[in-house]
Amino acid sequence: MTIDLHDGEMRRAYQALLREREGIRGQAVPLERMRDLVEGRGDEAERLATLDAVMADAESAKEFELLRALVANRPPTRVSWARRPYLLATVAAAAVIMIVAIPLARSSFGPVNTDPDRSGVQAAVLLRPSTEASPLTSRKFEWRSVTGARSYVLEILTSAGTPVFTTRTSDTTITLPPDVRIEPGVEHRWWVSSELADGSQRRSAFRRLMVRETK
Amino acid sequence: MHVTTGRDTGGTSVAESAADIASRTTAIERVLERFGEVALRAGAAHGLRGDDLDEVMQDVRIRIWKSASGLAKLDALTSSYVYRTAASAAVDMLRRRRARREQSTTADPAPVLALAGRRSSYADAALTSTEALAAIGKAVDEIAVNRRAVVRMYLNGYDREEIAALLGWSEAKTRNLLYRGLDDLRQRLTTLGMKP
Repeated sequence: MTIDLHDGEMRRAYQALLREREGIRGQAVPLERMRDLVEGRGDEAERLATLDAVMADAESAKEFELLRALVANRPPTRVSWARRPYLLATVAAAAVIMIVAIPLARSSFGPVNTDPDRSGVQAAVLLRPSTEASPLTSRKFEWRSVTGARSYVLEILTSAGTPVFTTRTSDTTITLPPDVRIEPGVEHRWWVSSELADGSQRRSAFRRLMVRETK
Repeated sequence: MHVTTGRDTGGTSVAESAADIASRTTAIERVLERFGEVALRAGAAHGLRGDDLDEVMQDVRIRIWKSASGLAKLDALTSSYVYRTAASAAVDMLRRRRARREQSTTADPAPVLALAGRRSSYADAALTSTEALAAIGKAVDEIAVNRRAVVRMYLNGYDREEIAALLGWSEAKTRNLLYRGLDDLRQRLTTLGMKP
C-alpha cells in the first residue's frame, strides 16, 4: 500500500474515510455534550472525548459545525482563570516584559519605540484597504509616508496573531504577491512599522481587515 | 388602525397596530439577518449548509415573535438572547432530524455497509484502496487520547487557530499536541505498511 504522508493527503484520506462510513450508523454524540463542547463547558477530558467522537463521525461533524457556526455570534463571556491557566501566565509574562524587559532593552539597545513619538515623528497613517474590503481591493496596502523613514515593514496577521505576510519596502504601497492569500470571511490585522535613520521604529496602530466573500 | 393579529402568543391574542407589526417584523429581520450572515460565514469553510441555517433561523424568528409581546423593544434584543434562542432552536432541529433518521431505520433497516472489499468512490489516485482508508482509521484510533481529538479535527479540515479557539488552548499547546499527534499518525501508518 502506498500513501502520501503529507498533511494534505492524510486530510483527504481521512475525509474520504468518513464519507465511506456515512452509511454506517454508529453511536450518536448527545447533542447536549456537543453544545457543551462548542460553548466551552465541562472539563477538558470530557470535551476532548466529545470532540474525538464528533470528529470520527461525518453526521456528527455536520451537526457540530452548525452549532459551532452559531457560537460565532455569541457575545464574549468572562474567562475563568482557573479554566485557562495559560492566560494567567501570559498576563504575568506581559507584566514582566512591561516592567523589566522593555526598559532594559531601551537602555541597552537604544530606542525601540513603538509608542506615539515624543520627538514629533509620527507613526504611519494607514490608508487602505478599509476594514472590510473586496478580494480585489484587499490586495493593495497603502499608507502615508513618514518624515525621516528609510523603510517600512508591513505585517499582516490573523486575529490569532499568526503572520500571513511580512515585507519590507521603501515605498508606501504594496501589492500582495499572487501566492499570498488572505482568507475571506476571516478577521485579519495589519500594521506598518516605519524604520527611521537612527534605527528606531515607529509602529502604526493595528487595523482590522476582513475580506468579503465572493458569491 | 388596530388589528387583531390572531397570532398565538402563548394562549393570548393581542391587538396591535399594523405599524407596530411592520416595525416588529423589520426589527426581527434586522437582527436575524446579521446573525445568519455571521454564522454562515463562520461555517462556510467547513461545508455548513445554508438550508440548515435557514431552518434554524425560521425557528428563531417564530420563537422571537412568540415572546416579542413580552419584550419592550426588539431593537434592544441582546445578542446573547438571540444566540441562546438560536442554539436551542438548532439543538431541537437536530434532535428532530435524528428522530426521523431513527424512524426510517426502524421502518426500513439500512444494510450495514462493510468497508472491507469495497472500493472507495471518493479516493483519489493515491488512495484507491479501501485498505488504505481503513489503515488511516485504525492508525488514528491508536493515537493517545489527548492528541487524537486534535488530530481528527485537523484531518477534518480545521486549522490550528480554530482548534485552539474551540478548546481554549494557547497556540503553542495546540501546535505541540497537533504535531506530536501527526507524527504518531505517520509512524503508525508506516508500521501498518504504508510507504511514503
